[in-house]
Amino acid sequence: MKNFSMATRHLMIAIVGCLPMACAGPGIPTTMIDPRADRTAIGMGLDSRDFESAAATVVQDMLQSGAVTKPAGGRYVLVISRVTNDTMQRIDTDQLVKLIRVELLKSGKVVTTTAVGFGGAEDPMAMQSRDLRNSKEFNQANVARQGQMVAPELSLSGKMLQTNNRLGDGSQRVDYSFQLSLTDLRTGLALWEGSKPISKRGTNETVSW
Amino acid sequence: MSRFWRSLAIVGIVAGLGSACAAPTPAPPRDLRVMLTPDAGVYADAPHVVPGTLLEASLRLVNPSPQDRPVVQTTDWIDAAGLIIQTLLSTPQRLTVPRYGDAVIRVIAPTPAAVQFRIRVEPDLSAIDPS
Repeated sequence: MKNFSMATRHLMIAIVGCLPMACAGPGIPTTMIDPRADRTAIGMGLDSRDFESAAATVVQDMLQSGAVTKPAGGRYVLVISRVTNDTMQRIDTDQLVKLIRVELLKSGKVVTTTAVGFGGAEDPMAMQSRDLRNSKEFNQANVARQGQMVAPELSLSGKMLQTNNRLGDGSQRVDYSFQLSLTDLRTGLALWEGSKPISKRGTNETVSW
Repeated sequence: MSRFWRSLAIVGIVAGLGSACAAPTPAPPRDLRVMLTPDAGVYADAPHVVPGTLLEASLRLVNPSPQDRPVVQTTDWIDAAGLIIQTLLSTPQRLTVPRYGDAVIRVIAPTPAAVQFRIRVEPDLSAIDPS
């Protein structure tokens, strides 16, 4: 390197620096995925397809069982209770629960309260807006009166589990389980319970966390 | 004369080969509510429909081959105006029809507004055997 001119040295450094880029493959271009024509490979972890599949199965089972059909007609009021993530992945349980709530709402059989919930209200504004009763700045005709909020009748709770096993053929198997319960808050009895298993098999080189 | 019979034989052979190579006539559609892609590798019975507040239906898929057939079924729900209802229950669902066996698809309408359905079954191209 000592005997080379400055220009030659700079050229050599530039060539060496560009070598990794030249050796790299073309790469996978970024594309949009259409959920109805999703041909992408399956991974060992949980992706949106798994949550949608689990939520669809759960909702279908609830509707078929009749548990969310109110005998006198009308809609049940549902509150979301504790849904635990017991898998090795960082999952917001709303990825599952929100899908279920939306579909139950569309069915016309269940409506969810956001004024109360496990760990606090999902939307604290329902209670905060009651403070406006004391404010002379607001037209009291629009402020909610006492006794207008509707208490929940059903509670949705559950957990997500994961079990990993190495198989005799050198591959590994991951079993996920989405377990949910629908409880009648008046009696404390579970009106509906369901479990959706999702099992995947892959090489030992892949990870599920 | 022998040339005549030879020509006739050649024409008959060519006509026979042509008809053998022609594309088979497609089977007439049995039920427009069920659509099986040609590469699904399964066939289906007529859907069994149970009317009610929420329409329910079941469909049996049969696999006559010696390999398991992983498939994806997608159910579209249609309202009285003929419009497709956007619903989670139209999410593609994976199932495997075992070799020489059958599997049953059971669906329920997402809302009372759904008065018709359409089930599509296609091969699950993302089901790759890691071995």
